[in-house]
Amino acid sequence: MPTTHNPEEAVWIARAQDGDDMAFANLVDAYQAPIFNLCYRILGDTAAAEDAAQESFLKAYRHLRRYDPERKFANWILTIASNHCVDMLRRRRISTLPLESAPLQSPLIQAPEAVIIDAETSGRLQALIKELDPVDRAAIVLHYWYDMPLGEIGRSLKLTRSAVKSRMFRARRELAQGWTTEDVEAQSGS
Amino acid sequence: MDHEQVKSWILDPEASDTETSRLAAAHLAECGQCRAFSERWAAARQALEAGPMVGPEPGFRDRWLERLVVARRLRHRRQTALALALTALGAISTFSAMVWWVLDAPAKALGTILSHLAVLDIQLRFILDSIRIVTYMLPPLANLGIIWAGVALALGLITLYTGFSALWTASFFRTVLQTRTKEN
Repeated sequence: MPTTHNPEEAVWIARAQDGDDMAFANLVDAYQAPIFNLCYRILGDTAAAEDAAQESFLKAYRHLRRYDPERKFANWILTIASNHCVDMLRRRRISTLPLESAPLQSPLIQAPEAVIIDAETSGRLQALIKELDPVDRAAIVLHYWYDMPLGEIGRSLKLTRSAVKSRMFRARRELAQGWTTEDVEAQSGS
Repeated sequence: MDHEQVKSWILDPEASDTETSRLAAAHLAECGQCRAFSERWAAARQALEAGPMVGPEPGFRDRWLERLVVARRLRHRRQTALALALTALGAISTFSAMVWWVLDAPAKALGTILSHLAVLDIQLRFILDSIRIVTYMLPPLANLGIIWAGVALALGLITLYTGFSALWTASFFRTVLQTRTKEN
């Protein structure tokens, strides 16, 4: 999980619930990277991701009183962002934007033990993700980038656990079918 | 063995037990098509698991704060426009209903208005007679009875009007000031 737990988070949330803009701005600071990454992975475009991330934070601030402290704040805000992105895709506002118009930002966080993939492989992966159904995309991104368990993904996307499993299966199949032998060879050579 | 079944096990290892894993491994050793599928999924999964986190351009927080101010201003404008539109709609509807009522049956409308005025006249006469009787029964106030009643009625109406006005003004300023404070 790329999000870090901040001990001041509960204080910021309480102050933001009382209308303190700067307290919520601290939360924006803390979660901007994971939220932006989620939006970028689902939408496949940096400009759209910036817009969606900003809008997701506005929605979160507007509905902060509905936040259940029993739930992780990171999961709550990821839920808002993923649903916002899915809605954006459904409205087909940006689904036709070419990937070339949006160069990938430099990585912010990378686990030291993780396999480093080159920009070409990353771009290829992003192109394949973009071919998936919006909800399948969100499920895949939440699972692989945020280690979210199936139950939590279901809660976020308002799906049953079995529906999430079925969507994940379909998405994996499409990704496997889209990944060519040349990609495999290029990946193993890099 | 069914290729689709093997592909299902490849994509969802949780669905297979030791025996099915052994069968799938045996099938993969013989079937080039399923082996290629397995390699492709392994590569795609590796790319997914190693996918880097990407971040926004610097200044995201400041851009968000600016957007918050703009969003609030727009929301305030929308609310004001909605309130004005609803008030105008109410006024137009009331006026239209009255016009329609009069135009639809002018004689009936006039009759109703006159009958209401007549009832009002009777009620006013009754109130004035009552006041006269009361003031007659109170000799020191007899000469000033009507004046006292008028003053009491005026004071009552002023109190009522002022109270409602104060309440309306207070709630209006509360709403506006709250919005302005949040904007700042």
